[in-house]
Amino acid sequence: MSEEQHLAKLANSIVEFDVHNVKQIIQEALHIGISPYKIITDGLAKGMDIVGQRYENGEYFLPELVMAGETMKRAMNFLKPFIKSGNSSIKGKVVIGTVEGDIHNIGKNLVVTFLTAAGLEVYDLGVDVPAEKFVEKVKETEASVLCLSALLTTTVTEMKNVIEALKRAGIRNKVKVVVGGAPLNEEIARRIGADLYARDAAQDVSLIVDRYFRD
Amino acid sequence: MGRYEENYKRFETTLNLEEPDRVPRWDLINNEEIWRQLGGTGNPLEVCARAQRAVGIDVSRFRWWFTGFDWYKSKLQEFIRFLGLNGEEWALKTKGGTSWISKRPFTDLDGLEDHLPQYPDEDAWAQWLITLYGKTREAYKREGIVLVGNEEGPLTHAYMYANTDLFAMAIYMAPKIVDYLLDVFEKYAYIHAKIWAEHDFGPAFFLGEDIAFGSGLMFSGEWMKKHLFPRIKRSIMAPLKKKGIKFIFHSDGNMYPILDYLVDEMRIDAFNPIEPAAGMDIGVVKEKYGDKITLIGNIDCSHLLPTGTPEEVIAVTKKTIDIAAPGGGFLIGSSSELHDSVPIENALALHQTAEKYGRYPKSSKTR
Repeated sequence: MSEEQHLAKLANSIVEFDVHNVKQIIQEALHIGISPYKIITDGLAKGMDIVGQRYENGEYFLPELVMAGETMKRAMNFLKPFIKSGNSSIKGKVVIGTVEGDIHNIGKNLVVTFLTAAGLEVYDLGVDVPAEKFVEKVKETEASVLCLSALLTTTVTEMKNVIEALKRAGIRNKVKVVVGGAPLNEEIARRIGADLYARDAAQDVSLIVDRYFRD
Repeated sequence: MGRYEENYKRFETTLNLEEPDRVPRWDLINNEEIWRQLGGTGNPLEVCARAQRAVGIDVSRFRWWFTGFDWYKSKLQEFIRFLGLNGEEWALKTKGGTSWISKRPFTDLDGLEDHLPQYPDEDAWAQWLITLYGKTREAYKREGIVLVGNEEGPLTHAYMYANTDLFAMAIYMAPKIVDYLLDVFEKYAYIHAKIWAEHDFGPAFFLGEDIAFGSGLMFSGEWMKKHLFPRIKRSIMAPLKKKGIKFIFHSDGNMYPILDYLVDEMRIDAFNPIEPAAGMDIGVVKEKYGDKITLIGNIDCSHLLPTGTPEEVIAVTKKTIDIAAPGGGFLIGSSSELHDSVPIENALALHQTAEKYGRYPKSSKTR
């Protein structure tokens, strides 16, 4: 099998959510000398792109996104030791989480997957994260981007609290704040003091990467 | 005729796609400030009924019963009581009037399989519903409000129980678990619909089945046609239809891809909330389905009601009435509920405007 065919197989493992065989497929690719970086960018991430397109086109739905995300997660966990020695041109740190009072994690998890696939170091704080925890992690990691997620209208105010907490800690100017989730739009994002509004995972991770991490 | 009888007639006329004397006002208050200011103190049910009357609501649903004003707490208590959950293994966290499940006894599919709910205890669940609705209907009636039966759909309950992403994964990796969960919650809703119908509690029943995001359906139409809609039709709609009770289908989100099916194949009687924040246009929906189903809701509670001015709310309310009221078959209200972020003046702006401006006859010139 050629390198191209291996990469296509990797992409396809994500598109078809082959959770049980994805590690084997990665092993085969590593075995013939494809670099971990190439496995991610030209194989797995291409698969995620197709998944994102299919979702946009109404061919894939939530279960398919979750399954593709799960396959990607297993692939990335397997590849983690190799990624550190990789040579991604995209470098940087992102802290991400769903704000306090909100436990929705699907959109946030997809963003984590896409950011990781893009080669970034991602610190996922999970759901229901208090403002102080975000501040603490941004300080500790010196991340340049903080992504905040919320699905409930009532938790949008919590995003503002996080931004205020960054200001109080004196680090607001050191970190770009990206907000996303169903109750938001550009106007609300601007009003609460965010730097960028992310409409959906697939499209906006590219926007985040292009704006904040490309040289 | 008293306020209750007037509202009952208004509601029935609207459900029959005819014009009553004015557009009925539909809503649910889930807002501590409004309860406190307009509902006073005391029994939560009566506080809620008084507050809804003061805002001007004519028709409403009610589902807090064990623990006062907290939908999630009530829901979890129901599951513990009627589906055999071990209360010590589940936990809720509450902040700012909102609760969410913060602990389940499982985090993966194997764990879920070991902690499936039991089928509902039919007698206990039915008896509870009879008591609850008896009391609620009386409290609402005293304030002149018509009560609508209210249950979550089998799919919403199933993914709420399992956690949405785990449920989504189970569709591919553990379909038997998915079938089982849907069976349990189909039975749960069936008993509820049957009790509502047999006891003649009111003219309509509301099924909250959130199946769409702002960007479109959460699950494929094909999957739902196979696994969900037949359950709703046979177990929830059938006992209601037999008694002539109207079936209101609720889902937030962009429902355009499945509305034809719901209206023409499922034959729902009414649709709520026609969520504007998800791109649902009441004019388009009225034009296409207004002669077949009643439309309910539509005043945006994501952006307009929480952050708009009363003047903006008044303008949108008038415009919505102009578009959706002609010909009947329209109840105006928020696009879900008057939640904690909605200021009292905006809640009043919506419902007071609807009272003044919603008088029939209405010309259809703006349609």
